[in-house]
Amino acid sequence: MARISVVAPQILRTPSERLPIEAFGHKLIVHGNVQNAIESILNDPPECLLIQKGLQDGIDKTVITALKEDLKLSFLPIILAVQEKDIMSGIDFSRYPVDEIVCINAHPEEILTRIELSLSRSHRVADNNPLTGLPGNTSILKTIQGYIEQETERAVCYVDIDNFKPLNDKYGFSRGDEVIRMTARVIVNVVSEEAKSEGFVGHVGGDDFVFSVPVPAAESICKRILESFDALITLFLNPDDAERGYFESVDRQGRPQRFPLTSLSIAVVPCTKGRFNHYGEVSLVAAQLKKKVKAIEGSSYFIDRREDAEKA
Amino acid sequence: MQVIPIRAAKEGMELAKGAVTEDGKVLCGEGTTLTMAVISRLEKSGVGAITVKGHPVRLPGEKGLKERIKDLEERFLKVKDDPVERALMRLIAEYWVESYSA
Amino acid sequence: MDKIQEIKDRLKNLKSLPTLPPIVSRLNEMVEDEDVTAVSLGKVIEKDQVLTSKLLRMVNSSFFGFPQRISTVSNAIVLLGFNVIKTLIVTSSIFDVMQSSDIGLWEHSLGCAAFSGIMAARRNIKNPEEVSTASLIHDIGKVVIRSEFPEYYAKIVEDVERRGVFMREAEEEVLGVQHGEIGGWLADEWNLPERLSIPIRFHHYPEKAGEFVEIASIIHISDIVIRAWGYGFGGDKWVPPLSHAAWEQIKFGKAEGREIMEELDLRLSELKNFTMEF
Repeated sequence: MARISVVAPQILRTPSERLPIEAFGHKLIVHGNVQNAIESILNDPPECLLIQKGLQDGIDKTVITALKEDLKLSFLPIILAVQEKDIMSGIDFSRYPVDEIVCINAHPEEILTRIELSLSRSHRVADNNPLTGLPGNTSILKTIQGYIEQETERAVCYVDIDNFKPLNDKYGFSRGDEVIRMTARVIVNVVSEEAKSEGFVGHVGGDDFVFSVPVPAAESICKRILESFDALITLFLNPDDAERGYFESVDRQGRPQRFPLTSLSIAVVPCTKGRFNHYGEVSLVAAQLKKKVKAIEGSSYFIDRREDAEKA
Repeated sequence: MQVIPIRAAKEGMELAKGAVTEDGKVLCGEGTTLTMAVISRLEKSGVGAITVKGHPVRLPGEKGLKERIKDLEERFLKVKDDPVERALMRLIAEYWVESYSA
Repeated sequence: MDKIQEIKDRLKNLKSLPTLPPIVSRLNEMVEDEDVTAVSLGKVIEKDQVLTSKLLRMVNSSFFGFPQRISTVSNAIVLLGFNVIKTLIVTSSIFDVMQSSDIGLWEHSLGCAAFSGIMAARRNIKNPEEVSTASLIHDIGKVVIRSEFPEYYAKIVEDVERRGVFMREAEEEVLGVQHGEIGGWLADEWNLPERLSIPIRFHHYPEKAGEFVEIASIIHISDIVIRAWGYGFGGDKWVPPLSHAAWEQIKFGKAEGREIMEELDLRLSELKNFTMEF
């Protein structure tokens, strides 16, 4: 029982073709107008999208990429409806990052089976963090180990939300979760815009993230992330806390306590050629840096420059 | 003096007021004579409009001062009994008269 | 069917509001450029009331967890990211036939946003960008009437021209409701924050705007000043009546008024770099 958006003018055109799928309990949202379809998908996401390849002006490609790169929607299974000749000649799946394909002249029953498969597959994606949809520890480790082995120079950046616990305690975990999702979005959006395909973002868990970008871009990316975070975090605070400039609570003995407002800190470890042999060394340096950067009040970043000293 | 969009700036015009960026940084002082180099530098620094001496540009659809004032008064016809509205009308009219004569 | 119910029903199922073709084509050119940033797209988007409203709708419907909804383009851009914004642009619909009054209304909205920004900064309002945004989209109800109810719209325009009434009066007569109310309904339907929807609803009656009386008052005065200046076209040629309660909120004397005029002249000229292209 899922809501399925159909943006495919040549498929499921008649009520009788739609019947087998609807009889299975799915709700088909068939869009005649592509433009309206996209708006409604972004505003009110379905659970599965069936889109036809080769729509006017390459809108199909634009939409698929946008959805797959959007944090909240990256899990949405996309089925590409293709011509028979596409199947024979092959499809460049790096340009069409879809989850499933179906031929436009397939039987409605086959389409139903493909939909069912996509839905079930999307429920068992392994490593990704369920809250943010970002890759988890296994992928982070593999990615960084990959840089070391292939001698790709990258700045590996460890992001921490400071004073997250007082916010969680005061406003409840659901607001805390939203802060984490907001942080994830900010990081992903800045990294993907500035580093494009050379960037990577992972979610270690809780309030910890890791991202990696080309070394020269690291500083400006950190700055933009911190700026954006600071602008948005105030929207999560109650106005009185924001105005006061700190959280107030009472400890177990009934004594009033103060906590600084929630901020972000980033520890940047430039992984230059030959500096590290193993991921463990990177995270060790990061752990030391984190202490330094956490000690700075407010949102801040710290770039490890020791490697320069080593070189000199 | 006249305020003009930077796109309408031409060589030889003289600034009646300093050219200022959106965040308040002064780039060129009053009295600077515009050259191609100055204009393109202003444009690159995000200056959208400048104040120049005289009234050198007639923008598309722009009317003369007299006609502008007449239109202004006509637009206020329905609210001319309100003293605050009249004051606003005078404020605009005086500003225009002043900029045409300065 | 009752007209008010008809309008409300239409707002619920409103698929897409049209944008001016030149803005969309300019944005389309920009997204073709490899180096374009989300921020620079935002600078153009925030010059269009329809795209701005859509962007805010999108961010507020896909991100419910905010205790405060998103009210500014810059925050929306950071949260939505480049790809979603690009999609919004590539898929935006345009007016089939653009009339000069469409451009007039667009300039009117831009002018009001500029004046509101100046006043918000001068009155030390916490988030001046929010006031500009509210002002930019204050007449979104007029776009709804124009694109969703062309017959009623034609009747309204005819009344304005023939009888010389305010557009708002003609709307009341033809529809039983005016554009401020319609804009407010749309803003609610689209989950926009109250800091936007309430000032939109009450921009002709700012004293009713409750805790947002200051924002509504600034928009109210901006409507008067921009129409007085003759910048753009708000649907009829008249300067509207002034709410003295609004004036009390943000009033200025002669000396400050002179400074404001100077700033406004500069801002409106800056906008011409943009509007003169069309």
